[in-house]
Amino acid sequence: MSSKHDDDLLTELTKEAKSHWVPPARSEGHDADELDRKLFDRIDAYEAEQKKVIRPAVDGRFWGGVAVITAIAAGALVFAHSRGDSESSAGLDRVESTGPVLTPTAPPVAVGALPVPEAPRATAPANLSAMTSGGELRVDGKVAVVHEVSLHDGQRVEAHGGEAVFAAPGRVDWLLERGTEISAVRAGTHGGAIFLALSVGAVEAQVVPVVAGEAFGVDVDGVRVAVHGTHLRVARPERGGAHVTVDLSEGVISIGAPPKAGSTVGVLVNAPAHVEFSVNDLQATLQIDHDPTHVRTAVDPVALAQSSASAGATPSLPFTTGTTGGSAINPPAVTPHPPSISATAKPPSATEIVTAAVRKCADETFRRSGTLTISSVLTVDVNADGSARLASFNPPLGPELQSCIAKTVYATSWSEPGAHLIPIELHL
Amino acid sequence: MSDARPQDEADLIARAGAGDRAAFRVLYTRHRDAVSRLVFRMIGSTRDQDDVVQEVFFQVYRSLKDFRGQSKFTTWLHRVTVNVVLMHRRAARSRPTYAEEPNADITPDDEVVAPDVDADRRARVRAFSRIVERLAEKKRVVFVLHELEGVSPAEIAQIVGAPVLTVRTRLFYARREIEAMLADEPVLAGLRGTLTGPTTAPADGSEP
Repeated sequence: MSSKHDDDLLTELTKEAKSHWVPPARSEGHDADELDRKLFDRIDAYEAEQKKVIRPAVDGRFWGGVAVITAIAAGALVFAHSRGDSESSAGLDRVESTGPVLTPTAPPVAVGALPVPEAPRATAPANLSAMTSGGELRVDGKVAVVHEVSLHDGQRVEAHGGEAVFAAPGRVDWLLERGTEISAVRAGTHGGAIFLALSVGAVEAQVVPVVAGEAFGVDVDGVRVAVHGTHLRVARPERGGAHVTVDLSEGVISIGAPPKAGSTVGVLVNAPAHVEFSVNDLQATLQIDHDPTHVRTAVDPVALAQSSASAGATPSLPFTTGTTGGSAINPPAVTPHPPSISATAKPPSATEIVTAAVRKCADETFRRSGTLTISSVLTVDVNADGSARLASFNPPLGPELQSCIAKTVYATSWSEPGAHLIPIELHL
Repeated sequence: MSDARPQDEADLIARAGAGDRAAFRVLYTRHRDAVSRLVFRMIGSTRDQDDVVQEVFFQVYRSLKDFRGQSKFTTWLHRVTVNVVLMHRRAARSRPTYAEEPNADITPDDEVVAPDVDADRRARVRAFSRIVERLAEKKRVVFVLHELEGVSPAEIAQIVGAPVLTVRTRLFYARREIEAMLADEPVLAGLRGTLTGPTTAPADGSEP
């Protein structure tokens, strides 16, 4: 406990530091002119570079949006030993906006978007695992052979006459619909996130959740649709067209400008959602529809690849520009579950139960608090008998919210022992 | 980071945002020292200070056109600074450290004081900076901004993107933790109950 003495001492020390804990004056200790010169040289170089680059079509003002992905704090708070952590509100920051687009005056790099160390992940490269309907995949203009193609940075990939399925084991499986052209912004050759630039067509992916950072993303001009672990489809019907649709059947995505480092700063969207926007003006055109009947039916790339392998060829998934229902699709499998949780035969899975509990608890706990953003990772250690032994959030949530969620976590029967990671991203 | 000339500043910001290099240079000159001080206090040394300050103003230059004046310019500048510093600290953590850097960059006193008094003061400030450095990141940010830079909790809330209540909570626990750590620093532990008199008077002449 602090005493009056300590308070006084701290006050005095703070006063002293305020006056004397300052850097050397510009005339001392370092070459101030050198700093000035370097800064303006850098600005000159930046300006010169900008003149070479075709200006992006997206209104840059939007991209100052506040990051709501706040999984940057460390130190998990264990339910069983919850003791009212001093940072009880970490990871649960109230957002004053009622809409998805936030403060326009924020700096380009928001606190919540700072890079965080990623957990060890599988590092196998992404390989072409299947080609349906006798289609043809071209990589940098050359016809590729199934199982003999690994994706590398900068490669241009075109799927003709069928769907191409790529697999980065343990990380992500995705399919390129017929007529789709992408280039690999980052192929994740040695692990890490995979980012694809979509020229035309559609990409559908099942992404293994990551503890922190982003696992997969699709760029459409100056807009990135980034995911941490989810199932999504991003479509750009016309080559070079501005109109983009995203169908999110599970998880959370972030839509914003591709950052130089760290996570994508932008708008968080929770599943289920059908999203449409124009890359020319995301802020003005973004439409988010959470009606599950409007979300395109998910296609499992893995099942599609397996089906293709066993049957020689599967019914093609014709690329469509339709926004709802997925009527043109005859999916071999629907909505696979994140591999970190082994789902039982019948839904809902433990993940779904817990995710629903988080939403319900947050809703009950903060019903009158306006718009909320919750971002954290729940780690559950499961005993051999399927009971939860320990659950923790990183960063921790408020004690009341954690206690509420804990009831569900400990009451849930888990299908596999060991550690289970569940990214929690809610925007209420 | 003074807002003493808001009208003039608004004009400068508008011009700089439109690409007027001279206007940006004025803004840079005007806020350079304040940014340097905040960077110094947050990274705890002068080693990378210039690089971080350069990065701050480079980011400011790139983003000024997006500044709409919905918050004070200084608030926005603080926010950019804090973000750049935090990114720098994270990057620095992943780099190997070959030697402990002496945190000896304490400014000599402008007042005429006896050498032993000045040495004592330097030792105290150095010890205090070590304690602040030990605070968790979020608490250190709000402590430095509020207690040393004089930024209000409401502004800090905008800077760090957290509710004001959260800022106050962090501030409360930052103070409490610092008080608890005072005993760990021999230079400061000895002061408990004895800190009085002119050696602790601030240089700006305000009342202790």
